[in-house]
Amino acid sequence: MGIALWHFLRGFTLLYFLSVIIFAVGGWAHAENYNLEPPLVALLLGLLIANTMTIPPWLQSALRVEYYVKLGIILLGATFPITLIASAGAVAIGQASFISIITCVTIYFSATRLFYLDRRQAAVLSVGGSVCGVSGAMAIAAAVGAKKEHIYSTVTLVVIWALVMIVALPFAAQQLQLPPGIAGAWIGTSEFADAAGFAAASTVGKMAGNEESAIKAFTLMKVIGRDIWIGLWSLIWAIIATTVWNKTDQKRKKGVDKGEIWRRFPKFVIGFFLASLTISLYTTTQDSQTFETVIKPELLAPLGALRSWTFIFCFLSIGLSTRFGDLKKVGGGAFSAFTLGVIVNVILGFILSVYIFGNYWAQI
Amino acid sequence: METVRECKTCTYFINHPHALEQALPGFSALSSARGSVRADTGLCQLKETFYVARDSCTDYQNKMLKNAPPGKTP
Repeated sequence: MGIALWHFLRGFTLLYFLSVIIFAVGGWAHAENYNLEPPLVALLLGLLIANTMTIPPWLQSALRVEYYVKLGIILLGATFPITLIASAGAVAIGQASFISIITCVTIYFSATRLFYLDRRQAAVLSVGGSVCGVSGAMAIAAAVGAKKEHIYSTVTLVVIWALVMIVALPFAAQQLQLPPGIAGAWIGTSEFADAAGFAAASTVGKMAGNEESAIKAFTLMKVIGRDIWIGLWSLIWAIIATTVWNKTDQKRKKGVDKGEIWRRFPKFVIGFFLASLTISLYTTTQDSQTFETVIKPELLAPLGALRSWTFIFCFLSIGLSTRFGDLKKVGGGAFSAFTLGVIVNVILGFILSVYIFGNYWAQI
Repeated sequence: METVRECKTCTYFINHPHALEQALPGFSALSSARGSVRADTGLCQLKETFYVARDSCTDYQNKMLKNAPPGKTP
């Protein structure tokens, strides 16, 4: 990872110590009354520390958000039946794709037609708001020739809205008394980043007393329905940039390369599928009694516990690495276009998750 | 062996995750520089524009040449 091991160990020790405190708070008898769910506590504690103190370099070394969330997703795969992925994949892909396309188009055309933003900025904003946040924006940045300032605005808007959603979506789902599977699916189409979405899904799941359902629905929608297609989005925008925006730019044509689909494929998804397939195949060789008395408590439960720890490391790291002072100011046009997309995204996601596919997600 | 004149060997091009996080304040918040979806996308510090490592342009400057001692060429 290019990090000094000693620095990482020092930082990780503190991260672990803080996680123990967070789990202790979450285990308090009255924690539920105050909605002190560990993911939220981890995030808020991290934000408080990062924005009131200076984070030393040795602690920054351990704030590996990306690695913790990907490891958590792979561990999740181990407790995710492959049959569920096979049966739910089409619904998740269909729903997520429909919402992503509508949201992308909303942000792009409002940014360019209503607020007269540069089309490159509009493109990164639209993919950031509809596919997978800053990662999505970076995936297409080169394809559209985005400038540094275009990514600045996307980073600020995605971070702010992702943090808002971590708090707002679980509370909205709780107030609307949504079943955890439906809430997880709604969060899967509404959140921007995997890590932020897991924080929200985990919170809503704990509030509803069924974290597994919320996280599984979220994973199907976000990882299977959105993340794995980012390479395709990059290819499509490269084609648009060269065939519609600038037909004569030979240099830009170099960016239209089908290899982008694989280059930008989120490789951790392979780990997720392999973990799911391995455990699913193994459990089919065991009888139901062995599954209940041995496999569940001695294999799946420890994997689930490890996953919980990994996600807490992730949420703490998000908080500790988010300094509001570092975020660049955003123009009114970019803010308005992105927010319009957020509104469309949230409403469409609600309608499809609750009314169109509600019966399906409620059974997850 | 002649160096291929692509962004990946250009002195202006940065695509190491840590360097990108330094160049783009706030970028480290969700660790987006380190995901595989970024692939070989990096930032040209001369043009302040994003390119992939396989891109090229007429402002190319070999980073090895820039750093080479006088009288030596890679």
